[in-house]
Parts: sequence; C-alpha cells; structure tokens
Amino acid sequence: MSNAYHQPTRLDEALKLVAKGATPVAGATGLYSLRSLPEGELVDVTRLGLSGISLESGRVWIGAATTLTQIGDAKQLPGCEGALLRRAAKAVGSRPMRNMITLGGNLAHSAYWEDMPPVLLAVEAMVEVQRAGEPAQLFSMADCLKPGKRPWDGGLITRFAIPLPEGIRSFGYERFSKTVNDYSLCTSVCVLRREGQAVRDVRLVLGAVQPRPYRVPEAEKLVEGKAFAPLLLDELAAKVREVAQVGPNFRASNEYRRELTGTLSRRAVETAFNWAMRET
Amino acid sequence: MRFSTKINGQAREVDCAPNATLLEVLRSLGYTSVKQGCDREGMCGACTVLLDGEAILSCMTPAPRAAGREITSVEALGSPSAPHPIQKAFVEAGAVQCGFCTPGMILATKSLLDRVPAPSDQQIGDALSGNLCRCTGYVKIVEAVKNAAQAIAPGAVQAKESAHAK
Amino acid sequence: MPSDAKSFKVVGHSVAKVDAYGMACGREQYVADYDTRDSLIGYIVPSPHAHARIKRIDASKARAMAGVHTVLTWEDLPRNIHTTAGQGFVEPSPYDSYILDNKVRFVGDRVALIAAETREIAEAAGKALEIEWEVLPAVLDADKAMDPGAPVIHDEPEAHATIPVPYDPSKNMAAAVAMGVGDMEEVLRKSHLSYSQTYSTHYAQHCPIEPHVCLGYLDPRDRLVLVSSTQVPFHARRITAQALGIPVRQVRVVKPRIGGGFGAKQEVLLEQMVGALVLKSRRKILLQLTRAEEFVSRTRHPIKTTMDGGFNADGTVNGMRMKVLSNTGAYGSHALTVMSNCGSKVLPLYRMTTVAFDGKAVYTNLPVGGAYRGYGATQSAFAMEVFLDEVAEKLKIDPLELRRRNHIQPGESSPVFAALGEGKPGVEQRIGSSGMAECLERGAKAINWVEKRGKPGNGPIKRGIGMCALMQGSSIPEIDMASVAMKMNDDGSFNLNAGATDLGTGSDTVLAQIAAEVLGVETEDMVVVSSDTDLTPFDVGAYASSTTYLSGEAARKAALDVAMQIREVAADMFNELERVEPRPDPAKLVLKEKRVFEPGGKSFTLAQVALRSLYERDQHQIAATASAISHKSPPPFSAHFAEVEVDTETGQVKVKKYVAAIDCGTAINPKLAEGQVEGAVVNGLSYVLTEEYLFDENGRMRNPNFADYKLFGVPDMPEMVTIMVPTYEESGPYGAKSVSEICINGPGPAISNAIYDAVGVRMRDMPFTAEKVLAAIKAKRG
Repeated sequence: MSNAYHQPTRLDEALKLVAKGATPVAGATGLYSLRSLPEGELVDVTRLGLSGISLESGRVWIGAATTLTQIGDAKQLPGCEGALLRRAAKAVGSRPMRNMITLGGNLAHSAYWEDMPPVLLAVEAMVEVQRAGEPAQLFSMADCLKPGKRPWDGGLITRFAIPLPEGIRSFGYERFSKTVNDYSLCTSVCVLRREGQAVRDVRLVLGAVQPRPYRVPEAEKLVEGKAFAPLLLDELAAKVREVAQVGPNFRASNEYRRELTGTLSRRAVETAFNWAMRET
Repeated sequence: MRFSTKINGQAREVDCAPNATLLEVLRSLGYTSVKQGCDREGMCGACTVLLDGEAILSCMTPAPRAAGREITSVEALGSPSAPHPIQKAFVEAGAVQCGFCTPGMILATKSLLDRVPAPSDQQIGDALSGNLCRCTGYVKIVEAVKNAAQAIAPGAVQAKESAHAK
Repeated sequence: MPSDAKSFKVVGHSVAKVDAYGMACGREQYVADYDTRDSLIGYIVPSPHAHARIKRIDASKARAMAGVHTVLTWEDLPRNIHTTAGQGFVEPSPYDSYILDNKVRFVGDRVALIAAETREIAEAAGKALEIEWEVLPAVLDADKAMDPGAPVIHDEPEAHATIPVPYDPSKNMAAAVAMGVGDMEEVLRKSHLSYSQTYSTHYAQHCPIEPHVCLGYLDPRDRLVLVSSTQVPFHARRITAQALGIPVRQVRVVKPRIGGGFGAKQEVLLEQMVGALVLKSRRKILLQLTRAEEFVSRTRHPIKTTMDGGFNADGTVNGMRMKVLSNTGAYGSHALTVMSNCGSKVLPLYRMTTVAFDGKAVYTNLPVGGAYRGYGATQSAFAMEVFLDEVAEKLKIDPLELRRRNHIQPGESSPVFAALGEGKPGVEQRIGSSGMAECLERGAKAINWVEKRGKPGNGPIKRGIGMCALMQGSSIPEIDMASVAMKMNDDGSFNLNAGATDLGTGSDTVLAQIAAEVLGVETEDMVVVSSDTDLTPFDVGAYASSTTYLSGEAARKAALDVAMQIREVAADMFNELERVEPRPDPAKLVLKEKRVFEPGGKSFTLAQVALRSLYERDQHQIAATASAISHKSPPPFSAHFAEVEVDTETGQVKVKKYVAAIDCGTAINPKLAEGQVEGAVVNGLSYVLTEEYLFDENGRMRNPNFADYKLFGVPDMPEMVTIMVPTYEESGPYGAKSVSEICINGPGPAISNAIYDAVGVRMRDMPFTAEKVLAAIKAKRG
C-alpha cells in the first residue's frame, strides 16, 4: 500500500477508503502514541461535515468530529445530559488537546483513561455508524463497549444521539487524577431522576479502572427508589468497592483505586442526590 | 505529498511525507520558535501553534491537515522592536526565563484572549494547563496574561461561569 | 558602600531581561535552532539491562544499513576514564566513566553510538547490533548496595578517586565523608530530650523543557566545535578533550540560549559522544535526547537521612547528628559533593556546639544522580525541618518559636563551615548578613500562623499549616572562579563577555546591571555575550548558586577597571578641551547618566571619551578583564509556610497557599529574583506531591514521559506569596547573595509539617502521593 494522507470532503469517499483498509484520522492525538502516524493510507475525517451539535426529535445529535472544545463550550447542550457532557469534555487534557480530540475519536481510541466514554454510557448515548454502501446503523454504548470487534470497524462513527428523558434529572461527576490535566485514575459518573423524595433510573458508571467503562448495577439497585440518607451512601461505597472490577495500572495500586471507586461513587451519587433535591 | 497553506500570513507550498507532523514541517521551514519538549505526547505545549486561530499541538497534528488553512507561530505576532502586547506583557512581568516554553505560552494566551478578553483565573489556568514551564513557577506568566488582557481590552469585564448547571 | 538599595540607578530595578524580547518573539537560538540541514542525527543505543557485560558486539550489520554513517562501540574508542560531573579540575567526583565501556550499569546506559540520516534509521541500526550479553545480578536497593557479596558495579581496575577521599568500588561505595565536633553520645545521653528519626527522599528529574542537546562539527581548521546546552562550557571543553584524548585547544564549546538546566546540564553528558561521532564521521552531528532519554540522563540523588538530636526543655539544640545514605546510581557523578552538602548547607542553620555528620554514597544499578537545584540540601533540609517539627511537638514549643530560638545570627559561625567542604575541609566563615528573623516573622504573618494553626476543621477535607527554615550558600569558597571581559565601543556602549552561563536564569541581565551601575549607564548599553570558550574568559559555570555573587563580582571588578580607564581619558579631555586646570584627579570624576563629570560640573559623554580613545589621542582600547574568587559562601536564608487541604477519603493533598520569605541580600533584579523563588518553590511542590519515578523489578523506569511523570501546571498552583527581605551582604556585589537554589528545599518539609497539622500523620518518605497519605491516615486510625 502506498503512503498517502487523504482529506476527503464527502463522507462516501471517506467510507470507501476506510472500507479498503485506510486508517481514519480524527484528532490524531491517540495515533501519535506510537511516536508517528502509521504508514500506509490515512483518511482525515475532519473535513466531512461531521462536526456540530443539533436538537432533533427529542435527542441531541453530536457529530463524531465535534471537538471536545466545541462540546465543552456548547451552551446549547440542554439539560442534565448536556451539562454532564460539557463537564466531562472540559476535564480532558488541555485546551489545545481538546481543540484536536473529537468525540468519535475519543470513543474509537478508547484508552482506559478516556473521559467521554463513561459519560456517554451514563447518558445512554447511541452511536451512529456508517459503512460504504450501507444505511446508517445505531448502536447502544453497551454494544460499543463490548470486548472484541467494534461496531465501527471497517466504517466510521458518524454521530452520537443523546436521549433527553423527561423529569427532574441530575448528575454527579467525580474524577481523580494526580494533577489537573492528568489522565483519570478513577472516574465515577452518576445520573438519576427525582421522584418525590426518592431517586429513580439511577445509573452509576465507573471509568478509568478497566480498559472500558462499565455500569455498577449492584450499587445502582441499592439507591434505586430510595431517599437520601448518609448511611445509604456508606453502604453504596462499600458495595462499589466490593464489586468493582479494577484492572492493573502501574501508576497506582489496585487496592488504592478500588478504594477510590467507592469514595468517588459516594461523592458522585451524593452530588446527584443533592442537586435533584434542590429542584422544586 | 504537496499542499498549499498559509504560514504567518504568507502563502507556502509544502512538500512532506504523508505522515509528517506539522512540528517537523514548521521547523524545517525555519519557524524554529516552535519547540519540541516531549516525545509527541502532547504534554508539554512547547509546540503550540494556532491553526485558524485556535491553539493546537503541532507535534500531534498531521502536517497535511494545514492544507488550505492558516498557521500562526509566535514569529508572526511581533518583533523585538515592535512586540505584540502579549509579548510585551510577558517580558515586562518577568514571565520569560529560559524562554523555551514562551512561544507556546504566548500563543495559548493569544487564543484565550481572542475568545475571552477578560479571563478569570480559572480560564487562564484552563487555557495554559497544557503548557509546562519549569523555570517561572507560573506566577509571573499568569500575571502577564492578565496584564496583556488589560493592555489589549482595557475595561473588559470578566464573564461569570457557572460550574454546575442543572 | 551604600546599604540602601534605593540609591542604586540600575541595580535593584526590575529591568527587562536582555534576551527576553528575542525569546518572546521566537527569535533567540537554542542548540536545535542552528542550521542542522546537513546534520546527521546522533543516537546513543541504550542498555536494556540494569547490569550486564558485553561479551561480544558486532556492528557489521548496523554499519551496512542504508543511511547509517558511523557506528561506534567500546572497541572503537580510547579508554580514557573520566567523570561526567561538570566540576572544577580536579573533580571531586570519582573517575568511573568511559565514553563507552564493555559493561552497562543501568537500564539506559550507553551501549553504542550511531550517526545516521534519521533518528528512525539510527534506532533501527541500534537494533541491528549483535550483542552477546552476560547479564549480571543487579543492585536495585541502596540499602543493600554495601552488603557483603553484593554485585560489584565498578569492577574496572581504572576506577579511582582523584582526590584523597574514601572510595571503595569493591564495596559499591562511591564516596564517604564524616566529621564531628564535641561528644555527641554524651549530648544524646544527657539532654532533656533526645530524639532520632529517619527520612527519605526520592528520585526526580530536572525536566528542563529543552532536553540535553548538542550539535558538533569540525570548523575549517578541523577544530571540534560543540554548540551545547550546557551550564558548564569550560568544564565541558576540558572533559571532552580528556575523554577523547585530544588537546583542549582543539575544542570549542559554544553555549547559545539554554532551555533550562537546574543542574541537569552541569554534566558533560553528550559533548564527548558527539565529539567521538564528529571525529569519526567528519560530519555535523545533532544529538538531542528524547524526553524518555532525558529521564534517565541525570537525576536527583535519593537520600535516606537519619537525624539524632539532643535538646533542652526550652528547645535549645545541644547537638545534632546527621547520617545520610545517598544512592548515586550507576556512576558517582556529584556523589561526594551532593552528600557533603546535605550537611554543610543544612546543619549550620542552627546554633550548636556539638555536631556530627556521617555520609556514604553508594553505587546501584539505577539511574545516575547528579547536580539538581538544592544539591543535597533539598534532601536533608526535609529531614532536618520535619525532625524539628517533631521535636517542637515533643517539647510543646511552637515550631516557629523553636526556629527563632536556635537559628544562626549575624556574627556567629558554625563548626560545620570549617569541617565540611567539597572534597576537602570547608572554609571557616561568620554570618555577615541574615534576614532569617524577619523571614520568619513576615512569613508567619502572611500565612496567618497564629490564627490558622491547629484548626483542621470538620468534614472529610482537613486543613493544616506547616513551616520550615532554610539556608543555602553562594558559590563554593576557595574553589570557584569567574571572570568577565569588557571593552568600550564608539558610542559609549560596552561589550560584556562573560564565561558565566545564563541558562534562562537571567544572569546575563544581572551582570549587565551590575556593570551598568558601576559605569553610570543603562542595562541596554551592555552588549552581553555568554558564553563561548573561544571568546569569553573562564568561568566555572552556572552552579552552586554562584553566578550573581561571584560572576557578578567579576563584572563589577571589570567595570571598575574600565571606569578608571574612562576617567583617565576624560581627565585629559577636561584638561585639554575644557581647560580645567590642573588636570582633574581621575579618581574624583563621576560616571553617571552616560557621561563623565568633573567636580566643577563640566562633562563629556561616554561616546566622546570612546571616540577620543579609539581615534583621536593616545589611542587605545578601553578594556579590562577581571576575575573573582570567593573566600566565603554567604548563605541566603528563607522561611517557608504552606497551607494545605488533605482529603481524608482519597489522601490527596492540595496546597492552597504557599508563602516564601527570602533574604538574598540585595536583589539585583527583583523580578528575576522573585522568579527564581517562585520557580524553585513550584518545582519543589511538584517534586514532593506528584513527581515520582516508577521502576519495574528490573530497574527500568516505567514512566519516562510527561503523561505519567506529573509536573505541576498552571491550574495546580496554590496562591503564592513571595516576600523579599532585603539585607546587604558586604562580600557580594552591591550586597547580593544567591537566590536560585534555596527555595526548592522548602516544600518537602513545609508540606509534610502542614499535613501533620491537618491530619496528624507524619510523612517522612517523599513523595506525599495520595495513595501514601491515605495509607498513613488509615494506619493511624488503626
């Protein structure tokens, strides 16, 4: 294969190149982890019109090439989901990095520390994938995070759909790192809905402790339908520590990061609780 | 591969390997203010340039991405005899010690002040968070950014940012 | 001598750095910015083993590769043993290094040198070397380095100490120093409180944003020119010549702008490698370390310090003993002197008649120690100042008060000064200037010591404040030498050629200010060149906090000489042209406002003087060269105060406010001096909280990059308060002492003590990572 850097402006052109085995290049920051771009055919996906944020049929649509800066600054992102996406996007690296990193690239690269996938999982985002000559397909984040072949292999992530459910909703977001612009060593995201004095539809996601983020249903169940109580939070923290899957990471011990999963989840859930109850 | 770009206001034809970085290309063209301080990790910020006005890391940017766009390096802002207000503010505040991080710092500042004329401490911290400096301890750099903001847009008011929207 | 800084015209003012506009506009040249289009890329093949012998090395395949120009193995090079430590001749560091050896002693050590058309080709050629290794057991724990039967790291017969100091490579002992005054055992036995505790500090890298880089080529007369990012151009010239076995006259070292050093570049690390490749290939060679390579270039010596002390109930120090074990890594660069400075830059801070120091530096198969800002004082001030915090608690004395009662005062001396030198006995000195008392008071006020101490608050996040007191030195007495050459130009401007090495510190500016003050001109009337071994006179280089104090004095002396020559010419001019009779006494002429004035008020411009001396009468070049040596090393003093928040659920420590009050004598350029303080403090904060070398079980550093080795950035910064406490050091130029190193020593103890105030746990082992602090909090809870 000859070396080339393609910069198509039409999606179908890009899809054809990807189908032939070319490597998609979005923000490119992840690809440089090997010190240089791979040899061979490269397809730049930043000129395909895949960036931008729109509201359509009760969902927010975010183009795959939308940069994290654009998401972080997107005042038009509505509701709890929008605020959470902004918050997580702003936690990533530095501003120049966020000017480069795209939402699609962040998911496709999926290093363990990536900040957007846990949030996309927590808000139950759908991922639109296109392949040359095929209609667009939507995948759930759960599908996207399964081990093995990724839904977008051989094609491109084109956009994300963020559902905007009804009700009084709030979130908690906790991220632990050594310095402010460091990678996360543990992230905990909670999204929930208030119903009277109780909370419903609790989703608790752990990020950065395993190669891919995951929900903690055992802990979600503990608080589902309950009202706020400090003891409940202690119980939650203990449960998260008990069930959390924590993979090896030379930067901090597994025991310590397991400790963090409980501490940060407690704080994330408490924050979400408090914000939900503040609503009248 | 060949492409056309604009560097510091000048149209340039570039011929480079398809997987070349913008950093390599800029330095080989003589824009040596663009520094390399890490191993393409995007973690030191010394290679920061503006691409269509936004700060990016040239060590992680494929050079061909500059095709049809405009690159700005610190050489374009001003000269020692006619410095840009940000350059002047950095010098006067004592924000320049070894100077190796300075071009990146100044460009990160430029892109901040172009967006936010009167930045808060938090906004300054965020804008410069990717630019490491080992000499100054950052105190005088932050001071320089504030002084530059004042010099460029006197009387501009800080916008309040809410940390936790609904 | 005036003692009021305000009476100075140039000194004491924050003039712009002479190179700052060039830097801010991207015009200044660093090594890699020179024309390198026709250069080959130099590459050092790194060792994959911590300890191994090269039984056979075959470079034929590597040499045959397209794009490879030169491959050098140990068999191709002269075996000239030397030290890479950039110190004065004869160096106090042991001679234990070759350009290349048939043995490697740490992961990353030099296996071979390659010059190729690209870095990628060079790396591929490195992989193509056929090497038969004999992998040896490695020493990865400094505590076990001197155990009987430990693997011997320097078994080469040539390894030796060049000065009469203990050195026993057969026991992995790279250096040892001991001194004692008085009967320590008796002090410990008889004191109201006798206490002992051990502290340890960790590896760290200087992380100049510009890694080590050197460009070498042959000039038209076949002399070796090395454009190098060095703090020590003259030592680099001497040691390169020594290692290559060529005369010093064949080597020229040029220091352009340097992208930071902090001691890392007080090391002759690349020059002899580049020289070897240039001499062999006869091509221009650019060798720049990657960040990953920089991390295993030179580091801060990890040191374990045990303090013993005897104290009266009122806090009086009866005596103290400091025992240090320094891990110098695979080579003994700065091993003896860093270790000696643990004692000599820390113990004299407190008044005591009985004092003992016992230090050993050991070889290990880990990265090599070196000079790093603070130079041993960082490591042992941590021990001393946490130790005193513990003692204060035991004696129920406010730790601030304990320092007030014991710190050394002007006019006093310490037996340590005379006993501990750098590879020889030290130099007796009495403290001239000291602002220590004022530093303590003003710092305490700025942090609100009395109000805030002992109030951790409720909730999971606790607050605490802690403090420490510090000293350093200014130059190495009776060892360091600096010189400056000046000449006058047609327009009354001056060239100031200094051997002193501005590595970003602003020393070019400080020297220019000092000379300008003498000559009654502005800083911009000084055209500064530093440094080039062909063009500028000798200077030991930028280390030991010496440049302002020593090179500044050389600048002052050269300027005084030039000023006298100007007065002589001007005296003639007043007499001949203005008919001032009799010819005025040159000594009575005053230089100010770029003119020379006679007592009657008549004046000439300096340009008129210059033009006459160059073109009109008794023509000669007004010029002078002056040297300065130091007879003492007056300590700057500083008091640091930290306010922290400790998250008791994650262990994370956040510094909310940091106060550094410092006495550096006269701050020649207050903004630059503050910049030295702030830079050192933040480097220290980052060192003790987030920077950490992580090794695997084979001694390989796992995190040699800025993604995993975390430096503080702007958003990590606490509120910083810098308080300059002016004093006047009679032995220094315009009252100046040093400022560059001292403040890196503060964050370790100040933060450890603040953590104790917040959560009651003693952090005696750096760094204070969240994981370690949380473990300590849990251990305390039981």
